[in-house]
Amino acid sequence: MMMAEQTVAERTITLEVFRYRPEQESEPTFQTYAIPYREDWVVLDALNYIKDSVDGSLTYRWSCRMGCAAAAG
Amino acid sequence: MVDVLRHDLLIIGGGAAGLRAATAAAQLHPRLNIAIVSKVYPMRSHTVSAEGGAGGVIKSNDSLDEHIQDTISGSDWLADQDAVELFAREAPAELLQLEHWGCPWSREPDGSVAVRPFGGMQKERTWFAADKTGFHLLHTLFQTSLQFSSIRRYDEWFATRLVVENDRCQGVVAIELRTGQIRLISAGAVILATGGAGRIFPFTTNGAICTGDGMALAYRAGVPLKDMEFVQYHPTGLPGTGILITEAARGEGGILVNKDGYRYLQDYGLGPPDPWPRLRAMELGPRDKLSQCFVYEMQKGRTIRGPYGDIVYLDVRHLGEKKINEKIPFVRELARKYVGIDPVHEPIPVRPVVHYMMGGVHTDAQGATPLPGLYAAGEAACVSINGANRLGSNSLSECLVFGARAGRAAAAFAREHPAADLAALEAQSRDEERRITTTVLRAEGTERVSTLRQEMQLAMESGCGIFRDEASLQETCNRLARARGRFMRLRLDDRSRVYNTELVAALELDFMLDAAEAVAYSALARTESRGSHQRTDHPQRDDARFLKHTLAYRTGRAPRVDYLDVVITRWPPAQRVYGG
Repeated sequence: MMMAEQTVAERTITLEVFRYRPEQESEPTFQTYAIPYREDWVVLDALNYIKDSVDGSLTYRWSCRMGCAAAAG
Repeated sequence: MVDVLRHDLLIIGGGAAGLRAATAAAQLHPRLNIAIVSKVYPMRSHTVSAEGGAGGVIKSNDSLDEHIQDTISGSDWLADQDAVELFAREAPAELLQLEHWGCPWSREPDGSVAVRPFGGMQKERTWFAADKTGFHLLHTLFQTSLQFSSIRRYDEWFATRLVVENDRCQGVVAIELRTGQIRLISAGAVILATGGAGRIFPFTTNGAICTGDGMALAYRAGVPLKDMEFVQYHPTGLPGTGILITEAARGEGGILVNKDGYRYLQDYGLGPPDPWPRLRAMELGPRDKLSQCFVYEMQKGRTIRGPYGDIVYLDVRHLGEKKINEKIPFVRELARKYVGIDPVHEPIPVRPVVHYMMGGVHTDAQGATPLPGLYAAGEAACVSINGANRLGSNSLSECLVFGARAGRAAAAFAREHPAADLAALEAQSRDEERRITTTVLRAEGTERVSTLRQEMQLAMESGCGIFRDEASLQETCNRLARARGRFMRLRLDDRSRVYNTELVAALELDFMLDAAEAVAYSALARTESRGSHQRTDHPQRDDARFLKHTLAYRTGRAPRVDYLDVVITRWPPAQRVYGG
């Protein structure tokens, strides 16, 4: 995953997410999401925002969200 | 028909309780065919996040009776004293067993096991591995489980239903997340070791996976949930994320101060404010009282406004960089990473945060539920040794003691009761597959999972938090019922099979709505204040009416609430006294 085009004025950020849906496509592809930018978010917060409010089909692992389960990443 | 997956003993959950159950059963019965179903890779279980330590009597100045007394007074006399006695007796051997399996307990200079004080303790008795105790404990148990070839794992399989036939539990239906296939896994006995349900609240120390799965599975199979109204708020969570700052920070000497730099706990009967840590006083008072004191302090306008609610400060600066790095390095790491301050130089902003469910699946001291063949252990279970407020550092030890007990008892049951009714079980599995597919995966409604989850969480926080009353609880019950109705009109963005985490989130929400309902209705029915359950409309403890465990039974409408006497052996109910 990479972050690009941070637009501070509108406080939004564009996330390019590398994802793979084996039932729909033969190769992984990049998908772009423009979401609000929050100073105190970590990347996981941004992904959770996408899953909750934009695209529920985005899939990733996460568990403890405090850097000890090694699930995220 | 696909092959039936058959085992003697099936354990749901791969955290401390589940892994300890598996190793206990495997050691006792080497030929027993054991399986662990876990919705995450076991080392991502929430045990990994435990920080401060595990309680057990090891030092010559301590005694079993003192551990028992601390646990019982901590519980506000709602713990079963026979269970607490055997827990205190068996905990040290379990912690030594972990030592022999390779757990790197922190040491005193003379090489003996080090202990630190936690809140509500008369003596220091918390074993620790710096402040990553859960991490080391879980890794030790996991690596030990690998030596038993009789333990098969179903990693990233999500159990959605217990299968009950001929009045006994004979397995589960589970989704393999990698493929989306829904399968029956049959067994002679099942142990629920699925952890807590902190995620029914918006602000919690609990990881994403703590969604009350095992509690709801049992509840749906007719097993009562016990003492669900008792939800522990830990006094020191980081604002915003809810990440835990361990009680060990206060055990090592950290202090709590309000906006004036004043150690406010002295105003609530917890003093005197000695400059050194005094056991069972001030910052080493019990969690329920410290969280309640925060609310009083906020009502007096002496907390600090922050972007994520009011806060007070946990100050560890006087411990110095060396001690902080040695004893609580993870506290420093978490504070730097998640609130951007270095505790060596600045105080840590904290506020009370939902941490632990004292309640859970009703079991006896062998982990047996009233449903033959079904067992539970760890936070998912309620034996009860925690009563109305758990003593800090008892939960890891509880996972070990009662995980092992449940493992042994369930193994014995499984040897005598192989899963027998496979055709009927298969039929239940097909019913479950239909339910998941038609009412969740392909539901044609309009509601988003996240909207309903947030509504549930806000309903719980606003009406069922640190202080409650009849009106607030009734409102929470009503809101939960409406959320349950809206859940029937769900719509998922993702209808795929492979790693459909939106489907999992929907089914987890389904479980959480059941757990939340049990919490709210049990709280509504208990018209007294005890431990973590504080009713502003009934502020006194009422032993005449409520020296009893709550049992909530699922009915499809409001749960039926029943009561069970608390077991009192040698410690008759008394006032809880803390402070010097």
